[in-house]
Amino acid sequence: MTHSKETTLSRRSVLKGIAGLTAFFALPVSVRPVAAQTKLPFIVSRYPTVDAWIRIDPEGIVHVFSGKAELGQGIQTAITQIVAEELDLPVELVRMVDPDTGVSPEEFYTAGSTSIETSGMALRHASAEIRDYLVGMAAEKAGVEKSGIRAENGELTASNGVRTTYWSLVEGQEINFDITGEVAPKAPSEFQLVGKPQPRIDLPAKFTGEASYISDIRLPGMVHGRVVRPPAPVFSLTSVASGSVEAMEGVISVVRNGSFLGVVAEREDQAVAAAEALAEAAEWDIPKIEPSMEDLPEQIKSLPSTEEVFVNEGDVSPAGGQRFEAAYFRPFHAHAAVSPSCALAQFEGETLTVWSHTQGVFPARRDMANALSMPEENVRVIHAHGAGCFGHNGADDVAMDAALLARATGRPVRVMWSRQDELAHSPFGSAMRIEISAELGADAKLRSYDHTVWSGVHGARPGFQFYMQEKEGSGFMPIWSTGDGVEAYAPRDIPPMFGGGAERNGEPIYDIPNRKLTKYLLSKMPLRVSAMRGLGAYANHFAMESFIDEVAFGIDADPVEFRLRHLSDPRYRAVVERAAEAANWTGRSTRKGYGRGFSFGRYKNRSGIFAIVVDVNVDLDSGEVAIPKVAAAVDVGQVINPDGVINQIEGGIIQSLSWTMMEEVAYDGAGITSTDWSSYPILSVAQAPEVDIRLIDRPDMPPVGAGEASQGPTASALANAIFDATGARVRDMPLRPEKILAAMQA
Amino acid sequence: MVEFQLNGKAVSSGTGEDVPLLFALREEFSLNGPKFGCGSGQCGACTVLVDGQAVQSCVTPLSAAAGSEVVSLEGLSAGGTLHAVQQAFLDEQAAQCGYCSNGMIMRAVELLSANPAASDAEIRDGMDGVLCRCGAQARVLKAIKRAQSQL
Repeated sequence: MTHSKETTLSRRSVLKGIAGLTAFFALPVSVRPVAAQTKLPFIVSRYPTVDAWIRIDPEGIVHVFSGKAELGQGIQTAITQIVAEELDLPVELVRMVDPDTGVSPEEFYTAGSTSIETSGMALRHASAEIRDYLVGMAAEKAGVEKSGIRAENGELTASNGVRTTYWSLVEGQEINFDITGEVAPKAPSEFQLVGKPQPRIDLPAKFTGEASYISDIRLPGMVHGRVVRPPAPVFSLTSVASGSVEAMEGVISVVRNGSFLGVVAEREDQAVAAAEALAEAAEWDIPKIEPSMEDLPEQIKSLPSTEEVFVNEGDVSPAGGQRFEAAYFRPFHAHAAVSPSCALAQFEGETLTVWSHTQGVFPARRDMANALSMPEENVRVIHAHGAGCFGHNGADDVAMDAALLARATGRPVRVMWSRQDELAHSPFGSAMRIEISAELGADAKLRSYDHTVWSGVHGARPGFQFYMQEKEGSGFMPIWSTGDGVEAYAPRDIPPMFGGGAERNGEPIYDIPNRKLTKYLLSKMPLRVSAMRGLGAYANHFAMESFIDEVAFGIDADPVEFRLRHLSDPRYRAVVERAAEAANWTGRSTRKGYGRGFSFGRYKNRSGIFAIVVDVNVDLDSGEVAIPKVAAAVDVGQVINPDGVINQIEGGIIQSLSWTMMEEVAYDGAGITSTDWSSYPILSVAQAPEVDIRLIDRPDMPPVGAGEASQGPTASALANAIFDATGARVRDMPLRPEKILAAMQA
Repeated sequence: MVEFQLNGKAVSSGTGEDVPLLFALREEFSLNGPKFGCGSGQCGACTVLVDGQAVQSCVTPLSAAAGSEVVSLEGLSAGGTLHAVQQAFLDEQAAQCGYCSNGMIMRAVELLSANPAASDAEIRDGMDGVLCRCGAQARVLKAIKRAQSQL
């Protein structure tokens, strides 16, 4: 196989390192500098030894093992910076191994903007302790105190001139002591790498065409598979006349198992042609999809649901003040990565190896083994880079497609979905309706806020059922349609300990004394839904921050000043003020057709803090919106890679502008109709605004993720800007020209 | 057999005249630069230069390359030095996942060679039909401007 050169080399040396283990006893703990016991991330209790995280190859490379995957967000670079920092190494000598159930720690999913908080901090401690340990060895060798050792580029120089290296110290040694939390990582004032912009480690290869992605992996003897499905969430195959397809050039096999219908061919172009012919030859029964797209915004409230109240503080019932209420809607959104999902699967005897751009190699393995009735230890799932991942997309499903075709044919199979597959079969971000009512107190501040959300689930990933105590069924869509008798597991929403699902960010972080948050979780949606960037936070923020703008306008208050009335936390105030300053905020626009919108939020109410000003020009005849500029401020605590944070924030803003302004999954009674880039358009290069991001570094605060901080506030800032420009308040997304015109005329 | 120049070398392909150029380049010649994105010429991920023109190789039959000079992303830096556009994309860190970068870079190379003094509006228009999902659009524009000043 022609996997990337680095990966092949590193894996080989890793295996060599494991093979060459010899017994070694750590220096007594008492000689280590004992710092105040630091709170270690939970994951360290599951993987307490340093070698679960870091292994030093005597040949001069440090291998880093993390369960967190590079999804285009730059985690590989940020984690490499953290490890290199603590070990006083250049980043070039630190290599992060892609998550692999064969060698990596099990770290749940790469999701929720938590990789730095969990894996990053585990690795920071592991690195600090390994450095301390090796410095101790060097000190003993040189007969000096540990404070007399200087580490640089892997070389350890003692005050008396005795020199050694990490590489020679680890030769023949097993470095596998427990992480204690007793060695303090560097103080922020000592940082050389962390907090400074680090170019992404993976981009040079990606900009020159080196094998970088899952779709670039070529296994010996590999063949190409495609699976044929109608663009509907539920379907059954009634008949297929596949004889002519089997006779096509290059076709190895047509695979049918229940309603699972696929084809395997020698070459990719042959698989594509055969799949097209097979689609022509297949007859499907598709249950009518209801409620219709047009009826959904209203009927979503009458779908079967369970009610849950998450927050109920004080009393939100009317108390005689000025009241406000409004309802908002978010349609289904597609992940719509530029690459369709891709996977490879290979059976060797009783064992299955799967290459996947899944967010969770371990949960995927568990679910896959269960669904295929295989022992878990016989399945290995290896992560490889895919196109940008924004949640539970088609990555897992295509891996099951590949596994099923590999099982049926005995060949190593690569499956790449078509564009239509990607836009019709990846799970969608759930449609949501939000109703808010609030009341103003005599002090012109909100005294109550009542937020109710109707939504499908925001988490139905393969393997999640095992964390939720559900043992039945699978999260892999392809298995449901086979004759294997494995059904979809009954998904529950993401629990509050992970930040919640549909209700995420439905509780304001403003100082409002009476507050209520209610969720109606819909048990059956017309389309398949799961996790998409921000989960419920995106639509809840859109609604809440549109609403705040409506209230401020209603009492003739400046939107920035009105928010500050309800914010006492200095970090929140600083973010609001910095964004306003970056945008030269002077209040609402006075010019018709030009508008400015403000918004603010803290992701999960405990993660990244973000505020934004969006500028728009709206053509008052056509309703067309142009976005010349956005300015924003962000506080994600201690910043690891400033340019990485800015890139994530900037990407989140632009993606949210696209979702909010133009995107909506379209469907009719028989299936999804937005299955190409003309029916599911996204923001073009030409439409991109100028972006100005101000980073507030808090070196002494814990670092949190940046990937999901910006989408919700951006959506509402856009709606607020359109209102400012036109007087049109559009509460149901997408904010398309016809809705703006209609609202202007209302 | 279809004969053409690929990244400066004479090659011939027996894959089949009607086979999309993209599949021939990826499978027969093991290139990774041009990528499958949509199969219908809508996203630009598969872009290569054929006689200097940016074409979408997923909807271009192999036969259309006959006798032509085909340059892929790999060919831009064939001498070991990055093309000014590649360097500018690195300098601006103009990507997140990088999957669209092939199309962005190849289209920008064509754009700047055809119109070295392209205005901002011409650059924006010229990038039409190359899609990015991660939100690197603003950085892509900065990178193209930077490359323009270097060329």
